[in-house]
Amino acid sequence: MNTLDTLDSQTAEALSQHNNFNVVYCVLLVIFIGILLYLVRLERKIARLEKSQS
Amino acid sequence: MNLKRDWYKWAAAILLLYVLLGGLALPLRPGIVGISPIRIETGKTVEVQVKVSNSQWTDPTQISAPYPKSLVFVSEKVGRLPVKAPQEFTPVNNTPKDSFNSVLAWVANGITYSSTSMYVYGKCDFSMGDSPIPNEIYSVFIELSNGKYLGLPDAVFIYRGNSDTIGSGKGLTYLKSSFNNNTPRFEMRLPNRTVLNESVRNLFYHVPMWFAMIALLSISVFYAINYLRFQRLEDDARADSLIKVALLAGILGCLTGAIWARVTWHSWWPREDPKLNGVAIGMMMYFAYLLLRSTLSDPYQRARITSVYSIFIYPIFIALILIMPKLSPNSLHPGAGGTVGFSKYDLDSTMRVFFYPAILGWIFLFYWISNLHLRITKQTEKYQ
Repeated sequence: MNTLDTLDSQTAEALSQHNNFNVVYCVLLVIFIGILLYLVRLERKIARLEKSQS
Repeated sequence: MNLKRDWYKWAAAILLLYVLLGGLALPLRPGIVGISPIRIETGKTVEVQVKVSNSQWTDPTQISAPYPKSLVFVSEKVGRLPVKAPQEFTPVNNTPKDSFNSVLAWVANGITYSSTSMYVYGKCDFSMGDSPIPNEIYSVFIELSNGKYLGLPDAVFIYRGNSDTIGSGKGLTYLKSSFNNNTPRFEMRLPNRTVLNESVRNLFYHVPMWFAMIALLSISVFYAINYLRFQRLEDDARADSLIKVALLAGILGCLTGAIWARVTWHSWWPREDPKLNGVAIGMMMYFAYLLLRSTLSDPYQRARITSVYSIFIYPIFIALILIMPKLSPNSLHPGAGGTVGFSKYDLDSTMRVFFYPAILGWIFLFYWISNLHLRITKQTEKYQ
């Protein structure tokens, strides 16, 4: 097997791994966690506000 | 909730639910995802293996689904070569009227496939025929029984073999050039694109982050100008809330883009992409805004300086992420090299049905969050 043939099989292998649905779940998870963390920050601000009010 | 005042919150909830369910549940259209071998020497008969995904003939619920008829190897460059009059070849399809309407192609008839396998096999006689061909990258198509084609562009490199001589074998045949003529129309399946495949759904989740960021920054500029005109601290607080939540959208856009790029472009942050460079500088300018704001304590002075700063950096930001990448000849993102992004070539009608609601939904959601931030800021200032 020469180098080009190895490259050939590697590319074919890479092409066959087409099912990249997981990346969609990862993206949604990142967005969800990001918004959640921001909401937690806002929540803390509200708690501080309530504390200063009372 | 007050429906008249809070309509956009309802809209955000409904639109995002629709986009989330539809964007995840809709299947992809059939498409070719791989071919083996990827280098073919002419002068031989080669068995080619083509891998498909979401093919309808493997779906037991589709009884009269179109099935594969032949494998076609075609190159645009070779197809345009005026080799000989098409009448001298044995055409596979109908006899083409003139050579401009036809392309030269290698065709493998009598292919094998099964309703349980993702692979389509075809034996093809790759011989030059009557005229020499250049070494070229070819696209591969599966001709379906309904006359349509499944394609994988630039899939296989076909080069002249030493044993191949001109005049040996039938070789290339003329086909009517009806490839890529599938006009985009609505169907309940998302397009199956090379490289992207299932991750094409990220268009509904990654791209709207940037739309939301730009929308929120645009509204914030409006309030920053209003502050400079009327000196109302509320306008400044509004502008500030919008910028902070826009930054959240921008950070999420960067993170989700990095994940998507890792899978499709094989790099977390492809440095040669002008859009990414522009975004990096643009985000830095808005981080500098946060820094600037935190160093000033007098509310009126802070409002004046940061309003002026944000008005100035907004057009630079827009230029960096929207205009500069368009001027650049090479970008991995769509819409580079003078073309308009999200044109009919990038988006088909099924994608649009989810993409536009996704943009609106995410903009409304981030505007809602910025509204919460604003209300907290207002209360904080009241009790200080």
